[in-house]
Amino acid sequence: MLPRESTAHPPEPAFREVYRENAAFVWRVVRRLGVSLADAEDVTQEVFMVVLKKLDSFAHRSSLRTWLYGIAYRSASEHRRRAHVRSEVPTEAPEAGAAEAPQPESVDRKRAREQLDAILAQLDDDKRAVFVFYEIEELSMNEVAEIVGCPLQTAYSRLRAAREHVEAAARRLAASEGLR
Amino acid sequence: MKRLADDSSAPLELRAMIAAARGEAPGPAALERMLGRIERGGPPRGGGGGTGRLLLVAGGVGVALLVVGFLVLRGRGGGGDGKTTRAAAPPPTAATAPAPAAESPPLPVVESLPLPDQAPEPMPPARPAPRAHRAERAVTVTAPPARAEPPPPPEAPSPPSEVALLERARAALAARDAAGALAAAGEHQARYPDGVLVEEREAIAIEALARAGKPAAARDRLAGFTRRFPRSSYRRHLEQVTR
Repeated sequence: MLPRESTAHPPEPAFREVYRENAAFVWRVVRRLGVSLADAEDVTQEVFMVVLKKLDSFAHRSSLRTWLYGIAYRSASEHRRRAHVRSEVPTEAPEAGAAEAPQPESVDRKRAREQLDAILAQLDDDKRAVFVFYEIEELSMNEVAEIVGCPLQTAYSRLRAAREHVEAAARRLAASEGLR
Repeated sequence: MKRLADDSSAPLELRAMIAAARGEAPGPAALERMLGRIERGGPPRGGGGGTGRLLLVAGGVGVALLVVGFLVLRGRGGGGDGKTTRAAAPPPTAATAPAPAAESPPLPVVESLPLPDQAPEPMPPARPAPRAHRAERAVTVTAPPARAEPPPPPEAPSPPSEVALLERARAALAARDAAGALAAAGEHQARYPDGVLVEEREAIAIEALARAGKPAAARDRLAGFTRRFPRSSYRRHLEQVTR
């Protein structure tokens, strides 16, 4: 028997389950797609507002996770477009008090991620998305092509271009920092 | 197509970056907060995302500057009714100095806290250190500027980075210097017990143990490695070298 919800309009139990299983990865994806730490919570919330509205009509033509990634991809793109129109420069560091920092972690790990975000920021949106979904989220290329809405061969060529750029940038970064 | 994280020819730095990106996650409080707002059907926190907050912060700073300017002028006996002071922007004074100080200074490479071994993926466990760091930043904002600080003692040379230590270990292994490889891997373990290249370090250490003629120790360490990184691309190679 499911526990009784205390809110006036309780969401479907299925929604809570979907949220609990996927909210963290949706948050992570929007971060890698260029949403600042300060805004990641808002964009994740927008994603799940859409999920809440559409979960009943989800047709299972794709996996639930692919469907969620698609919504996250579009929400992050839309957010970045809005940020661009507002001339707001997305920042990677949290504004003071604006957002709770994510899980505590080592400085090295944080720094490594900031470096990756700086490199990804140089890619155009299409290549960045393909790189993030394949290399970081470990989706198959078929799933990636479906999420970003392009033919499979196009997704492969975007991935190749993105990898060339990212690898070269990482090597340049290593060379410039030198090995201490 | 092999993923970069599993490709040993990809730059180590890049693999570390990808590992760090895979491990990022929001805090449980943030997840609960978002769920609460979604259930209430409310808008995102700022209404307009970060912009709203930025405007609030900017507005707050502006008001603070006006108040400071007003008080300064008033202290000098000028601008009695406030209307006349409004047009005169406060000059940049020491009172405004804390604002740039709010930006965090570049952090030195700081070692991870010495925690016992823990499950490596995908999220590091909660630790208090970053909260303490935020508190430090808040203190920095309110601290009086300049001259109170005694000159710092001469800096010790910065410790080698994770990548540098593992490059050293790898080079030693390639030169058939198993003891050197183990020493470098051991230093990495001491300095970066929760580093982003733990998997690489363990792989090097296991192979070094095997080459140092310590097959039992190598197999023991491999057993721990396998439990910790069941999907590691190093596993097959390590199983071969420890046979």
